[in-house]
Amino acid sequence: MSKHAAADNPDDPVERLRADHRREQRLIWKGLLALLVVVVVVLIRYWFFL
Amino acid sequence: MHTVGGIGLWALSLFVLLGALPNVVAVLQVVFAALHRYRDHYDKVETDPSRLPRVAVLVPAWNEAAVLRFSVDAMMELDYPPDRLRLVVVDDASTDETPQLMAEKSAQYPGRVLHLRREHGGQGKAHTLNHGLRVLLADDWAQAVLITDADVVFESTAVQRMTRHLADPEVGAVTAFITEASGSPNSINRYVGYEYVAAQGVGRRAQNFVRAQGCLAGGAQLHTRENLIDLGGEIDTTTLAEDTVTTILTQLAGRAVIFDGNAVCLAEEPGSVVALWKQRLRWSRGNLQVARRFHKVFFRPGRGHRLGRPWFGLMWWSTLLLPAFMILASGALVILWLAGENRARLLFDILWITSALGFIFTTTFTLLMDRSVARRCWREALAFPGLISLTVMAWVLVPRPMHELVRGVCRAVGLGWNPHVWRYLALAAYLWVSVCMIAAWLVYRLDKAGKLRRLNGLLVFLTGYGPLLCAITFAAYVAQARGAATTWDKTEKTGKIVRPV
Repeated sequence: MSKHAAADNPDDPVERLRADHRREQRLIWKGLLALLVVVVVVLIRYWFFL
Repeated sequence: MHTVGGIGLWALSLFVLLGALPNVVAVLQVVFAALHRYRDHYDKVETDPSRLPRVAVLVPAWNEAAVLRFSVDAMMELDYPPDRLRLVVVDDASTDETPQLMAEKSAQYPGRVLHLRREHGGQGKAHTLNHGLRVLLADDWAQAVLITDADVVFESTAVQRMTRHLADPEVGAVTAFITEASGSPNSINRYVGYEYVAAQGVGRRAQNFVRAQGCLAGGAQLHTRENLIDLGGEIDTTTLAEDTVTTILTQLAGRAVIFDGNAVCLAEEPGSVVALWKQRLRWSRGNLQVARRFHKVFFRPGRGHRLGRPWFGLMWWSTLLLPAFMILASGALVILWLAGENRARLLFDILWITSALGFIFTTTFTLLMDRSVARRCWREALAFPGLISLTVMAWVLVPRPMHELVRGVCRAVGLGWNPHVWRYLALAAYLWVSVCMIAAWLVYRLDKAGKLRRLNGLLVFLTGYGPLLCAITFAAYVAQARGAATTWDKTEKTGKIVRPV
């Protein structure tokens, strides 16, 4: 098992649950990052291409 | 040139804007998925392995020896207490070496692998499953039943991750994330791989958030014994979407259905346009049958479930009605164009800017959500709408450079340049909103006829995988309207899954 996979699938169920919690928590930041990409595209459109 | 009257103008405008609705819903799904942490089910799970339920894994099989050869071993090696996990393979009168293989596996894993043989099969997956359920529910060993497919391989901790949710007595069923894991995947496999992250990883988290699940993945549905007994001890055999019917009935009975995106299963999915068309036509027809059967559930709040809430209805219908929205939007744009209305261009811009920004937002989030799939399928993610639609998106996002580019291309190919060329290009773009489905259907017909197979990847890249899915949904409308026979077409599996290391 790779180091990354091992971190995602710890043997201890409590640790595994914590890892799953953290993964769900990170989705908020990923959503904000995706929103930032959209904002940058909109800004580029209005500043440079219209 | 005819003019369009006031009410007609508003109706046509509404039709165009309706075309943007599925994109708006897709964006909302991403927002809900991002906020999933605040409504996930992890604060009610069981983490003590000694208290995990006894699980019977039920596998329907018809000529599946090629995949059972390794999936049985994979199931026996799962990180789950061995005395609490049994595998029951219901052999639907297979004519390959399934019986011999299962005899071997039963001897290799005594008491843990059981082989049930139906001598007269061919009625379909649901009947095969019901045969197994009758046997399983006849004694009280199984506290939960995990229904899966012969080719599905669970990651070692996946079943534990699923069963931990059953500690909550309100939960009736749990599903997992199925990822496309073909060994040397082709472009269709990779499109499916990306689509699964978008549809399951994002879509089902969003459905967790609104506490109404549309469908338990057919290859990973874990039920409590009580739930199955409440369902009458058997699953639906009247539609092509028995897993969706089970999901809805479970929730109508007041039980929760949970998606655990961290419980991962690997499956082999179709690798050609024809195989994909066959599989998805069955799914789409099944969804239409389900929509008809449960039409009174949508948009009508009910006691003990949230299927009647607006968000769930919007998510469900925006997918099912997407082809109709596209045809309406395209037709309305063309009528407005013929009537010489400047409004056509404005509405077109609104429709496609919504699509473009929605596409950027959902694709970025989906790729960030699953980095292993992103590494494998990023090209297909970017090409999902097809090159032609991407060009239209670029046209509305950065009109001036695109105008210069198109003018240069027209001059280079000898078409010359005048305002009429621009006008007719606009008409072509309006038509493409619905014509893309015809183009996708032609790609399918070419694949079915065995012609230009080498160019299939390129043709799908041009027309788009999204339009191909829409064309399949439209074909499902036609099949249902014609009353085509409801037959179960098995998707061919070859056992080319790459197992996790």
